Amino acid sequence: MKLGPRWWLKRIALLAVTATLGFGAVCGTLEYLESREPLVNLSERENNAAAPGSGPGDGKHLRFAIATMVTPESTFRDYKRLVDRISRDVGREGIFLIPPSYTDARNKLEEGTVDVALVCTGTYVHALPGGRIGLLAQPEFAEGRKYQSLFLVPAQSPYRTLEDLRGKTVAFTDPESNTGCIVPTAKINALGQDPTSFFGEIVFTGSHDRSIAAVETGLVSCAAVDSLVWLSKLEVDPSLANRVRIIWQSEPYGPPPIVVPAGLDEKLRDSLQIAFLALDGDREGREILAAIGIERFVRPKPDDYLTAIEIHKNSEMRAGTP
Amino acid sequence: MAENLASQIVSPLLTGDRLTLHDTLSKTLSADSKIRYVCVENERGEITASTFEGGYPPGLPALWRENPSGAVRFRTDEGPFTDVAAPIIDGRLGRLHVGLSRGEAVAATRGYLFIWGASFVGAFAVVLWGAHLVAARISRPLRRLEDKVQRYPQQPWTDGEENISGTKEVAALARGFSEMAERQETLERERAVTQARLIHAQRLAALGELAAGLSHEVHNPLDGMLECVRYLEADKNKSERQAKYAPMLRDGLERIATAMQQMLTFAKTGRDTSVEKCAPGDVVASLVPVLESRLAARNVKLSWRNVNGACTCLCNESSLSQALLNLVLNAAEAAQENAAPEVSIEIGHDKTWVRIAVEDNGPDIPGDLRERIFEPFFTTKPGEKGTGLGLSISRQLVRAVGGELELAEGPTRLGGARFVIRIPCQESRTCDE
Repeated sequence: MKLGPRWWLKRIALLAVTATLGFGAVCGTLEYLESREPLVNLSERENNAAAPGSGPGDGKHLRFAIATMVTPESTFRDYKRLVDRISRDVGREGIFLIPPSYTDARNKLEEGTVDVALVCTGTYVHALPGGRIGLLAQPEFAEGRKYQSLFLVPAQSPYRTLEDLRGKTVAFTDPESNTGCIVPTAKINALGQDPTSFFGEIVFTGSHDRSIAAVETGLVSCAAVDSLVWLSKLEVDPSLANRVRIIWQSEPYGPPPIVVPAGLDEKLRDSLQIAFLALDGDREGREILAAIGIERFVRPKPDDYLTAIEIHKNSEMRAGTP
Repeated sequence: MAENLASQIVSPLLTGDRLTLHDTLSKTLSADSKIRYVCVENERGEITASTFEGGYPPGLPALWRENPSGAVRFRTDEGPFTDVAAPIIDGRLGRLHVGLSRGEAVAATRGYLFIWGASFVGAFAVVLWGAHLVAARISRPLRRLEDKVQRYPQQPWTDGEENISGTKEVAALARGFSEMAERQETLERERAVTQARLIHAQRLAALGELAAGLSHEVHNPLDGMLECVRYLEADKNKSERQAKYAPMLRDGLERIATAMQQMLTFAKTGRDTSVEKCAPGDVVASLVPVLESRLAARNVKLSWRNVNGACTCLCNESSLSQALLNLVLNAAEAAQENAAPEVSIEIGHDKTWVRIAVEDNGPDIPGDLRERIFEPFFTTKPGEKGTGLGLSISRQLVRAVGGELELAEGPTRLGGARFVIRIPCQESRTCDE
């Protein structure tokens, strides 16, 4: 059988028809499947939900703020259960607030836009003269854990004393941080130096874990950090001690307290205090406390903060601010 | 991309940094034209931030509630969309939603489908063409070759269509088969010829046996009859009628005796191949008196000579004499057509062969009969003259002693036929010719 042009034409025509029908079938199927999808009108509008924590308290929510002693994400992961538990214990729906800075946390407390907060000691002593916040409770730690300020340097660096840090880049956390700024500043002052001229550059990282990471990676020559955060990091990664070492540590200070606005409702205040003090009374509470490195919450001891208050007062005087 | 974005907005979301959050979402929107919206859904299913202006479409949260996990496809007034969700801090802060327009993707899919289809058609056409090539170059020629092989030998190989061609290998195969068929046909022809010769030889052998038997029965009475005729001729008191008819009777009887003798010789040929040293010249010399007496009665002149001196050969003298006798008698018979019939015998030799040539001045033998004259019972003599066995017997006698009897080519000295007996010299028994 000779394969002439007609043979070819027939087969190619058949093939083209088959391919066209196939293409049409596939497109038709796609159209049909699309027609079965739900329809949403993107042109309609409703208002966004209210941002959490905005506006005055409504009696149904508990606005609980945690200062960013570590990064916001770490703060959320570490303290969410605490916020939920305390909120549940006082019979309210918890709103977890993480102010972007220590100052913002203090402002919210003084304005009364948060109901309760865990803040740095520096924030408390900074707000204390204004009389607009009050101690509610303070944490107690396991034996050997103290709230101190540490100076950290890279393990392989030649720095041995504070004097070796002259002209170097230092990482502080926040201007109102006790262990992350106020105490190390006082220490440099005690050496007869001004930190702004002693160090080559001062970098504010916003949180103690960021300061530790900055030293570890060599972004800065040294960092002033919270000993409790340092210990928590070591528990997670013991090999950190091979990369970062302590060249100086301060005396212990009163730990970061639980504070409330001075004008907080009495009933709520009492409920909150009971909730905090009773937290270590059950297994869930102890788990929550263990996750944040705390043994228990106890009634506040204002005398524990006297040293910090003194240091803050002296630094304010040096800065010429009341 | 959605997961990456979800991790980027954790900090501004937690700290309530709406500006940074809005910047991050807006940058994502402008990064790719397929992204039509980005929304932040909190853990209660409410939209807390989005790239929509003036609020958000209420249909979206309802869509997310009905499809809580993975990507969801839906239609809008702007075309088909896909909503991709990524959890924020394992879903504890809610989910980030990215809305992707599928219009371009659908168009691209259709484009790919079209290209695929066209490629498929093209590929299929190439396959068809390839199949056609294979069929034209390999399958069909092989099928035609197979048909030819199947029909052979009932149908001759060269019958029918033109030569089979295709790829080099197929053409070589076809040529191979063709050559094999030719060799087969040649062998078949040779077999047929050989078979015919075998049948002919068997017929001759049977005939020879018959002739031997017949001549043996006739030989004795014939001898007696010849003896009686000789007595009659020798009678001094014979009558005139006796004197006239006795010689005629004797001639006839002698011819019968000769024929019988030839038949006997034909039957016996090949049975006695003993050879001895002999001088052809002496053989001829001893035959000449007999020949002269026989030829004289027919007025045929006989002459003979040694061309280059005496020589010897190894042969059977009796066979040689018989062969010479037959040749000379045939030559004399042929020379009768000449007014002055003459027969000559010439003996010559070289290092290898002894040649004895018998020539006559009768008519030459026509070209188409030159080979047939050696066939048994073939004769050109008219009527009942001769048995046609003389030359056949002579050839067999000469071959039996390693020689050959040939009819010489070309014009001869006397103008007639020239038969040459070639026998190896004594010094060289191999025949190189």
